[in-house]
Amino acid sequence: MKIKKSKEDLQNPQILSLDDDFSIIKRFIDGEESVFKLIVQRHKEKVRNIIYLTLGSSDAVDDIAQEVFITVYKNLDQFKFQSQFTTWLYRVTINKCKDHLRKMKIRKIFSPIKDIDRELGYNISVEESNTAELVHEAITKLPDKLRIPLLLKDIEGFSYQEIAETVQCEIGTVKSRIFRAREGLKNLLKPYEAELML
Amino acid sequence: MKNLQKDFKFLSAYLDDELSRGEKSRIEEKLISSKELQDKLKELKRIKQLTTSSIKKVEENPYFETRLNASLSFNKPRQNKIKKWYPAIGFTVVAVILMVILKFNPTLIDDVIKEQKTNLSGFYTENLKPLLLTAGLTNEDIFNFAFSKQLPLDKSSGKYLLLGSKSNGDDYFEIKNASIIPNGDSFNKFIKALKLNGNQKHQMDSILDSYADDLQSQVLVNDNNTVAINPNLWNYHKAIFADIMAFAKEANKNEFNKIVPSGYTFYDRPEVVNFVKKIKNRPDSQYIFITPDSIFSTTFKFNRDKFRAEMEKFHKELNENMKNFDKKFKGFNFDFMIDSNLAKLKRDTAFNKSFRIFVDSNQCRVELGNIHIPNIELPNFDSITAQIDRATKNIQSFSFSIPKFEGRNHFRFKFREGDSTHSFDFGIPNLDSLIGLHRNFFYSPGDSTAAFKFFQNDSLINQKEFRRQMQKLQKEMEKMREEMNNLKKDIKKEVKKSKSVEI
Repeated sequence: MKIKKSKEDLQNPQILSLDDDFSIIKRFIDGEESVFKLIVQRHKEKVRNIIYLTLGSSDAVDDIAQEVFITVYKNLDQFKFQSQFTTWLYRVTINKCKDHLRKMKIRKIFSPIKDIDRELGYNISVEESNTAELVHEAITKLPDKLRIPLLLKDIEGFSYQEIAETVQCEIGTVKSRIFRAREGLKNLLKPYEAELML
Repeated sequence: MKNLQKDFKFLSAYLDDELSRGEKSRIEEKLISSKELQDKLKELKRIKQLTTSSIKKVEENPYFETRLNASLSFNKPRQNKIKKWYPAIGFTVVAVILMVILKFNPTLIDDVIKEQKTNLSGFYTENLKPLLLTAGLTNEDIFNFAFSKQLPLDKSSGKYLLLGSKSNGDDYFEIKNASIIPNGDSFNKFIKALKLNGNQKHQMDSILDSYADDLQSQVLVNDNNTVAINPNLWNYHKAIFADIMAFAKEANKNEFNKIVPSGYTFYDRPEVVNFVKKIKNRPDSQYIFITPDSIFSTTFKFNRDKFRAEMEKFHKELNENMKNFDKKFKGFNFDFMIDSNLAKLKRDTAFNKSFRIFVDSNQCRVELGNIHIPNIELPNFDSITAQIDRATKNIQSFSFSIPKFEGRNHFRFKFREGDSTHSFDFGIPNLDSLIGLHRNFFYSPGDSTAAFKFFQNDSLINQKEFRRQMQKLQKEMEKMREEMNNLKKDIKKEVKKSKSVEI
């Protein structure tokens, strides 16, 4: 399956093929554990980016990425070779992110409101004039189920099919969620309509 | 309104290039005519643009892999850790199982080996046929077997079986090519040397004929490239030889004594007949099998009568069929292939210690260290065996050709007398060939039957006695040389006559 790439990716293409992943995994299953570092090298940036996009913050990116690869390392010998390795890897990544966000929400209940707001960056400062930051702040306000498909599409360049497999839902749902995310983002940025030329 | 929202959703997907061809063409048609849709597409494009440019990718962490590797070393899957020990665990389990099995069934391995041996020997012992039957043994062949211990295995390919004994008493047999086997009309030479008349010659033929049938079952072969040799063959060799010598002694004692040196005593005919009878009546079911993989000894009963009946039936049917084609049955050929495995076995010191095998391009020798060759009891047979062996060599030399002795014709003898050592150098002209014939006498000082005994007891020897013996020796040598020359002349004349007759 051909993965659509963002402009940045197209400028610095990474050659990731199904066969390469499979052959590395087979070697790993056959006992050549040292090849796991190849898997990490090939996919760590993508995983870290997905985590970053999903959480909206870089604070816990490395911690969660570590958890993702440790989980993969422990379970790789059970990989069935029935789908792309990346589909499974990104699903694990998204699930780890969801777990993390769930924990954060629970923590939010027992934390002072100010701290939570600062931590999650929910406040959009009126003084902030940087367009990118404004949009970023708005995106973080979107619910997870809308934000994650939107970012996987617009930032990581996933296809609807890949997003559906990663977040484990139907393609129609993905289509709908992405549209709703864009509508939600438009509404959040309504106050800055003029500056943002919406 | 609801339809418009649906179209907006399609516009979002259209922007992401995720519509099917039909959906795409439909929305494009609507776009042309709908200003509202055009504005919405423009808005969605702007939002997508803002989204894409709003988030930069996360910065690389150079320590990510190092940290991950450290974490992984503490989180290695248990299965992988166990995998490392799989071979050791496997060996341990197998060892324990074997120990338990062997504890309750200690003879298991021996039984398995025995069974395999039985299977193997069964494979090689099936369909064995007497090779000598088809090799077409003649009286000449049987005579040669008695005197030079050789039997033709396959005359067409020139393969011969040779029996022998080493100086330490170990017997051996060899399969050799004919190119290195001495040839000659030794049987007729022997008859002529003994000056046997027609009747005696006929008797000699009868004696040899009587062994042909027995010898046939001593060497068996089959299609699996197996040669089975009965150790009793060694006794047959002795029996035939003793029989021939006893008959020769009885037929013409004077000529016999010319051939056989003085001091040699042979059994009388009744003794030999008794001896032969014992050999023939002995159950010969123990064979030595030479196969391409191994050499082993096992019990095998060859049913001679059954085989003979089958062969007669086969010949009869074959001849009937062959009549139509005007062809004659020529028997089957045997070619003993010397397998390279045998050479490997030769190097394998752990191989069955009963045999030692020597293989080269011309021969395959098997020494039978611990194999029991059935010995038929005959009074004083051991002492006479050495004499027979020497006489065999003597007659062999006489019968074939005088071997060329390449030693010096200059001899030095040393002996001790009291505290002093005496040394004598002397030359005997033209003695080479005679020494070749009689070197056994020279080099057998401990043999009581030898003609010269000057090394037997030092105290009896003095210088004069030694000189006297040497003079006697020279005279006897001269006499023997004359006799030999005369015999050679006679043989040449006979050969010329026979050739002229053939021509």
